[in-house]
Amino acid sequence: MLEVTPSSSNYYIPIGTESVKITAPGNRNIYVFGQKGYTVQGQASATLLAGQSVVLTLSNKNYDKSSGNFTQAPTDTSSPTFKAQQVEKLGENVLTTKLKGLTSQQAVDFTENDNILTAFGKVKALIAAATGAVSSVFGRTGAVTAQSGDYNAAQVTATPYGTLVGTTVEAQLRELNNMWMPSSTWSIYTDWDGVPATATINSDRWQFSNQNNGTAATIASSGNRFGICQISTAGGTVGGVLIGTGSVITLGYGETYFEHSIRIPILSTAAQPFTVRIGAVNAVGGDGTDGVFFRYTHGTNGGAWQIVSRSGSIETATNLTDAPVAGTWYKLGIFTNAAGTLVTYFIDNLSKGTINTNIPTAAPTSFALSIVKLGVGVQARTLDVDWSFAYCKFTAR
Amino acid sequence: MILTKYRINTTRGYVEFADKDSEEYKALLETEGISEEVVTEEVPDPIEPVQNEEE
Repeated sequence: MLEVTPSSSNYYIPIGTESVKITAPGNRNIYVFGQKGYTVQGQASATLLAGQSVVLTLSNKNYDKSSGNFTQAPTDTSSPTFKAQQVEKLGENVLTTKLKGLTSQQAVDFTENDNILTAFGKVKALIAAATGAVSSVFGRTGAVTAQSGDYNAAQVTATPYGTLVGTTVEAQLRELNNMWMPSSTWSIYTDWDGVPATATINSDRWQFSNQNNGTAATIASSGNRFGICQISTAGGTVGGVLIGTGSVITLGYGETYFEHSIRIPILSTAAQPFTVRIGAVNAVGGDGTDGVFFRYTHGTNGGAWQIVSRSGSIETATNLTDAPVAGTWYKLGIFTNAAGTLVTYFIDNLSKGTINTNIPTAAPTSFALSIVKLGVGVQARTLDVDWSFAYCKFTAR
Repeated sequence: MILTKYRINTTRGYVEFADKDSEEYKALLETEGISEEVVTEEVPDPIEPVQNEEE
């Protein structure tokens, strides 16, 4: 075995030597040379990361086997070439080098069948492992670029957004698919652009209910608000209107969301008091038996919104600090989890509070909104709605 | 229908119960309650789905 103990920072491994053992603590350059008369093809090198400087290079310097010395570079200065098959086996050479930044020596074990290129590959793999790099990606080496099929959708993470709770692309795509399948979903939407002047509505899905002379009718669109329905108490002290689906929705059978975009043109006052309820409510003249909704009147909670959940006429009401401003549009959303144990209330996409008691899971409510006068003042008061949208993603059906 | 309920007022609003003797009532009163009261409400009939009339 040839043991090389050079004094410089460079180590020279002569090709054709049957075995070489070097120990190279510190930062070193390791060269493997072609024999005199051989040509060197290409150049292989392994470069460490910043702070480390072991470099492996195929060189075309000559090694004089008889004297055991390295000679100067051959006079032939043409581009060196090296053919792997011309390299004699390295035998059971052991190359041991201490790489800067490592805490122990790293050994590379060459086998009898290694040629110089596979030997270099082993050293490069060791260096790569020591520096935290990877030697291949998806079985591909070198400057790896992305290929179709590298990842499937289940391996790509996704951030839960809106009502999508999956954490992978695969999971969210399945949720989207199931969201609109009639077999697994109930949904309803209207932009309120065609309410009959007689305000009877009563399509197959929307119903109109009133007390005294309450009305509903489409009014002129405004800007990007195509189709606006205005419900009105229509004079009298106790007029009221509700438009909704009828009591068909029971919570707790899947994630459920109610959304209305509404505007109160004139706010409630002591002289003309009224109450509006937005969300799901199942009585025209009051809170109804079951529902989840926003409630507003001037004389409660200082005229700010309350969020309400109501089951069997028993309710939980939480005071918000947000108060409606006359003539301003608000998007009021109410999300109930699949189990029907938590209701979250949103104003313009911002969560304003949750309720976890008295949730209507025992009896149905109506996706609806309403306005009703409170027995004082005869002037009509109105509530405008731009759109109404709701869905339930059934847990099982 | 006139309904009698038991209400616990809290700093954020209130929670009503059908049964004043329930464990939930006592627990909430102890942890968050600032007052309790008995309230009654006349509950209107809920809106029921209707069948469309033929023209």
